[in-house]
Formats: sequence, C-alpha cells, structure tokens
Amino acid sequence: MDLLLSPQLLAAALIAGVLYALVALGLNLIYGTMRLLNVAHGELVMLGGYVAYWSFALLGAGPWPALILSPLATGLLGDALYRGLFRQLLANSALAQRIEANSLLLFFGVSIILQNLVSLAFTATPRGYQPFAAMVDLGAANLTGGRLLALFVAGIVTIAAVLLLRFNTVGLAIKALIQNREAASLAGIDIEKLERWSFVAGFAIAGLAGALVSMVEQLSPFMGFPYMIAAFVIIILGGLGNLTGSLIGGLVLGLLETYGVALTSPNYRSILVYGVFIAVLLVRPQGLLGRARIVR
Amino acid sequence: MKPDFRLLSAFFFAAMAALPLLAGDYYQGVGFQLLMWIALSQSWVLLSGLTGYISLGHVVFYGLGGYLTVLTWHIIPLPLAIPLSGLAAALFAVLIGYPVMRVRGPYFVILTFGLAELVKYIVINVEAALGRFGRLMMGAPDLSTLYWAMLALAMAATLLVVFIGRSRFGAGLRAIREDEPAAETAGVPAARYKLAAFALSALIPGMVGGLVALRTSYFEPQQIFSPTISFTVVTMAMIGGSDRARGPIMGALFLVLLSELLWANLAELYMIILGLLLIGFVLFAPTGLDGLLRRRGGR
Amino acid sequence: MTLLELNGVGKRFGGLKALEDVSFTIEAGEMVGLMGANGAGKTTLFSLIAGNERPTAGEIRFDGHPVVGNRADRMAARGIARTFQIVRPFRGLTVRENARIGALFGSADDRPVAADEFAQAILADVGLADRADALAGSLTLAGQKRLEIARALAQRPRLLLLDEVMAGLTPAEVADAMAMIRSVKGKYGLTVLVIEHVMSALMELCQRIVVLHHGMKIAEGAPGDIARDARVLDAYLGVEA
Repeated sequence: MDLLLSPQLLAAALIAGVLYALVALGLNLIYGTMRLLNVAHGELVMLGGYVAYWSFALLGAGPWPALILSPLATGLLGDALYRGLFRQLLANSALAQRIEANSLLLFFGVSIILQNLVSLAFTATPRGYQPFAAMVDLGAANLTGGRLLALFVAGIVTIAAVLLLRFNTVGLAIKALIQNREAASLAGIDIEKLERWSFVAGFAIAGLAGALVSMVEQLSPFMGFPYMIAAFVIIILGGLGNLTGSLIGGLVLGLLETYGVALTSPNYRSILVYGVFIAVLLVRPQGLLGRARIVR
Repeated sequence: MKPDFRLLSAFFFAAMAALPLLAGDYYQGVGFQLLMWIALSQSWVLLSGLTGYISLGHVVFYGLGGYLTVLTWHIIPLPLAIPLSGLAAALFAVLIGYPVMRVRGPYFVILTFGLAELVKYIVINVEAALGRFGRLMMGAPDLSTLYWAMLALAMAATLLVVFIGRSRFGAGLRAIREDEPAAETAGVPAARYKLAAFALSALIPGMVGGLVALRTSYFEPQQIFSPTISFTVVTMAMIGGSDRARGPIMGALFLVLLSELLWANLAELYMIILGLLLIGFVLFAPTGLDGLLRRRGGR
Repeated sequence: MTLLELNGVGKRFGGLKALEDVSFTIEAGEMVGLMGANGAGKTTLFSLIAGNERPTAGEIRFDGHPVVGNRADRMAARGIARTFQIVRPFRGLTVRENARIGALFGSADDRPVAADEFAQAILADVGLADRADALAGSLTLAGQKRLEIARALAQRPRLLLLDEVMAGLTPAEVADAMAMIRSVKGKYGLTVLVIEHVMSALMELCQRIVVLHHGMKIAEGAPGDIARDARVLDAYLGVEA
C-alpha cells in the first residue's frame, strides 16, 4: 500500500505518461491528419535517442544540444521522406484510396531500413548515459536529473503544442484538414504545405521524445517498437486526430502501466496494455473519445 | 508468350516434391521454409487479400496451433494432433471473429496486431505459471516426414485460394473489399462471409505452427508468436500479389531466394533490401509481381 | 397487391429529424416517383426501405412482412434492390463482375439461372455489353450510373429503388435513360420507386408521385395534380397559389 501511494511511483507514472503523450502527439499529427499509418514512429524515437547520445558523448555540453539536434535530425528526415515518398502517395488517387494500407507498408519498409542501418552502424548493444551526475531531491521523491528534465520538457512541449493548435489559425487549419481534406482545400487552405509541416512536426516531436527517453532509458536499435505500439494505442483510445485526447490518453496509459505493474507484476504489463486496448476497440470500434462515422 | 500459371505452379510443386530425393538436408530445410511461407501467405490472402481487411496478427493462429501440438505431444498421436491444432486455431477465430471483424480499416490492422501480442503474453504467463520456460520435444519426426506434411499444407492452402477465388464466396469477399456497404446492399451477407474467411484463414496456419514446432523441437512463445512472422507474410503477399494464388508463391519464392543469397553475409543488409523492395513495390507496383505480369501479357 | 407499405416511418440521427411520420403504399407493378428538395429525406427513406439503416419510428412492410431490423443483405434476398445517389461501383472489378455480384447474391427466388449469362443479359439491357471487360473504375459517370442499375437489376428484385440516376446527364442521355427504365421495368416485371430532380422525366415516367419536404410527406397524387398542388408549389417556389 505504501508503495502505491508513494510519490516516487506517481513521479514514475507521470514521466512515463507525459513521454507517451509526446510520442502520441507526434503520431497524431501524421496519422490523424493524413491517415498515414506511421509504423516507423518508434524508430524516430530511437533515432532521436541515438542523436542525443552522440551529441552528449561528442559535444561535451551536457544534454542541452540534443534538445535541438534530435528534433532537427528527425524533422529533416521527415521532410526528405515526405518529398521523396509520401507526397507521391497522397497525390496518386489510386494509391490514396487504400492510403492506410499503402502507407503502412511504406513506413514498415522505412522502419526496417532504419532499424537495420542503425544496427549496422552502431551494433545492437544497448547504450545509455547519464545526462546529469547528481540526483535531485524533491523532498518526497528522488529523481535523477535526467528524469526531471524529461518530465519538464515533455510536459511543457505537449501542453504548449495542444494549446498552440487549439488557439492558433494553424491549429484550426489542421482541424479542418483532419475533418475534410477536400473541403479544407476549397476553403483556401494550402493543403500540401500544411501536410508537409504537419508531417515534419510529427517527426520532429518524435525525435525530441527520443532525446528525452534517452535520458531515462537505455538505447538499442530495436527499442522503438513498444513506443510505436503505445502511441497507436493512445491515439486510437483518444480518438484519431484528437490532440487533447492523445494527451489524456498518454497520461492514462502511463498511469495504467505503472500502477498496473506495481499492483500485479511486470509480467502482466503487456497483457494489461493490450487487453485494455482490445477491450475498448471491441466495445467502441471508433475509440474512446472518437466519433462514430456514419456511412451513407 | 503468356506464362500458363497452372502449368508453372504444377511444375513448381512437382519440383518441390522431388527436392528431398535430389538434395541434401540443408536444401530440404530451405524447401521446408519456402513451403511454410507459401502456406502462411496463401492463408493470409484468403482473409486479407480477398476482403481487404489487412491483418498484422496472422501469427496468432500459427502460434496457437503450435502450442496445442506441443501441449498434446506424446498424449495424442501426431496425425490427429496436427489437424486438431488447425481446428483449434479456426475455433479461436470463430470465437473472436464476430466482434473483431466489426472493426474496420486501420483500427482492424492494429487490433489484429494487438490481439496476437496479447495472446503471446498470455501464453508466456501461462507457461511461466506452469513453471515452463520453453519446452523441448523429444522424439519428433525427422525432416523428411515433416517435409511431406508441409508440402501437403502448401498445396492445400494454394488450392483453397484457387477454388475460393473462383467461387461465389470469393466473389462476395472481393465485393466486400471494394465497397462493403454496397456489397451488402447487393445482397452479400458481409458479416457471415467475413467470419467464414477469418476462420478459414486460421485453419492451415494452425497446422503449419504444429509442424514447425516439431521441426525445431523447441517451443518458445516469443519465437512462435513473433510479429516478424506476421510482417513477413504481409510482405510476401504484397510483393507477390495479394489477389490470387500465384501471388504468394511468387512472393515467397522471391524473398526466400533473396534471403538465401544475402543472409549468410549480412542479415541487416537483407533486411534493408527487403525494406527498399517493399517501398518500391508499394509505390510502383502495388498489385505485386502478379499485377506486373498481368499488365505485360494479359490475364 | 400491395408490395410496399410505410406507416408513420420516422428517422432521427441524434438530434436531427430526417424523416417524420411518412406513410404511403406502393402496389405491385407501379412506377412511383419520390420528389423533394435536397435534404428532404428521400435518400434516407431509401436507406430505410433497403435495410441500410433502421427506422427510429414507424413500420415498413414489404410483401406483407415487416422489414424492420433486417440488414441490407436480407432485404436484397427478399427482393429489394437500390442504387446509390453517389455511385458506388466496385471499381477494381470489371463491369461484368459488378453485375455478376448482383446476380449471385440477389433475390433468393430464382436460383438456377447461371449468374454469368444473366449478368451478360442485364448488361445488354442497360447498354454496357461492349464494356463488359473494362474495369468499373474506368467508366464515365454516365456509364457507372448504368452499371449501378445493372447491378441492381441483376439481383432480380421485385422492387427497384432508383436514386437520381439521371443527375448530370444531358437531355439526350435522359431520354435514353427513361427509355431503358421503361424497357427493363416491363421486361422484368418490376415495381419501381424513383427519386429524381429532373422534373420532366419524373412527371413522364411515373403514375404517382409522393412529395417530401423537411422529412414529411406533404402531397401524393398523379403528376398533373402534384404540379398544381398548393403545398407543393409553396414548398418549391414559395408561391401562394
């Protein structure tokens, strides 16, 4: 009981939750807006993590450069992939009809390539680092500096992103895009530009999340997988394209996982996550906070 | 000159039948693998290729079948256990099929994946509770016997796709793929048909799983429920073509040959090329090799 | 003999009342028109009759038997076929295969008919026989509309629901379509319910017209009477006759 009520556990749950929320936010900007099933999203987190690791190891300026370099790296990758692959997919009407299936396969290919390139370059041995030497004592809980930074940055970025998109014209445009691509275009919104920036932003946010994750966990070329799954679980539970939903969903997942494992055992972690996910989908095929689509 | 696929396929299976007589153990092993992939991909096409409901969790049937075979090892004679494993997988599909197939599009894709993972972790925990961390199967039949069984399954899976593809049932499934509400309006009993396709697609993988468990003589849930198997199946069907029986044969052959060429040297390189191929096919040849050949020389 | 009977039929989508208290009957062999401004509820009514949606109020009877709760495929087996206002061909299948689906899964009555032959005959009736092997997605809009009709006809329905099949057609094409509809109705002994905005066509084809406005039936009668009906004129033109 003591364990359950401990601030330490709560802190762990919050950190997990806010990192998940950040990853899910990035995915929502890609999947929610353009229906592109980015199954390589986890690899973007992984890449962000590796960039952070190397910037920490080589630049000697602490974890700070990574906060810029990681999103920059993945953002640039996103731009290249958008222009090279996905713009074509979105524009070709025959392919766009089965856009989810086709994008799934494209991203799957990208994911395999990224995983194996990194594995070739850096071997599959897990790596880790400590961004700050000291632990921070918050009175009730003890956190490593890295964890605290992760919590802080992830928290700020997710809330800022959600607020920005809610109260800004760009956010409104994205909502329009999510609801009806053609109509948004007719209303004068530059669809291609918006899609491109949404895509790049999604990639960049994933990279940032990766940098933060690297301060909290070990890195390996195949670590992205659970993050990708978690992100999909979250946006489906929170509703596709519903950015606030993914924020809430991320926190819920973090809490569920951390407390669920504390209550039962680490073995049941996956069963809990997948079980809840499947149960929700079967009962409400459109997600928890999503809206049912009427087919005429 | 248009290739006659019936002739080519017959020739292919005849060649596979002759393989054990001509080649050594290593190539028999490769042949076994190839036949396994063909059986799995064909059964995937039966569901996802025909209905358009893309499943990323096909491994669940394979794993469940394998598990049942392992559980009944030395308790039930093999000629009974293997078909029973297939039936068990199909029964599982029937039990969960109705709610699962109500879910559409991308949700379905991720649901199937999640389902396979859920079953995997449940089996892992059940095994742990039983005090087992992997099971060894002593006295399993040797490769030759298993090879013939796998050949039979690959042929059965292929024939299943051929016959269903030509049947009223298959026409209905394709209509569902094109436009489900319109298909229903035209009279296709969509819910029933989807469930039937789901169950049928589980039958052969269940049996394949049993055979593979016997071949490796070792059962480990992480391996037998590995998502890589689901992904490989999807990739083979996409590269080969996911609408007709010839697709998976071409896709499996292509990828197995490629992996034979590259794996020995660099597994990562093989995977990178696989990724590039997948991307290339999706963008430029979405109907797979089958579609490319169709465009060249007519149906 | 009454083929279709609607009693107090209503449909709500959440807070939106699409249809309210709609009642009328259709006798076997009639060609009845359904008229109304956009949003009047015509297509929704079709969806209810064909089983794509369930009514939230009232009763629908087909051939004396209640329909409510039956899904679209059951209704197709009972003998109802419909076209969609925005055409929904099976794009990746050929024209022939499209028609064949209707033949294979339609009305359960006459099964011994070889589906392929029947589909081919239907294609000839609608004038698509020469495009039989083309992909449905490659047809022009007019062609796709004909294919919709062909697929519906291939089901061997007793009641055919046509939803704005003449929208977007030139006057010449409209005349062709009218001739085709009359011809197949006679040849296959159909009862037809037609939604149409092309007034001239509707008035000429139908013996009786039902007028909907804001989800309610405001008039019913012979074309000539409808054209002069005060409520109809008021609804359409805002004229006080």
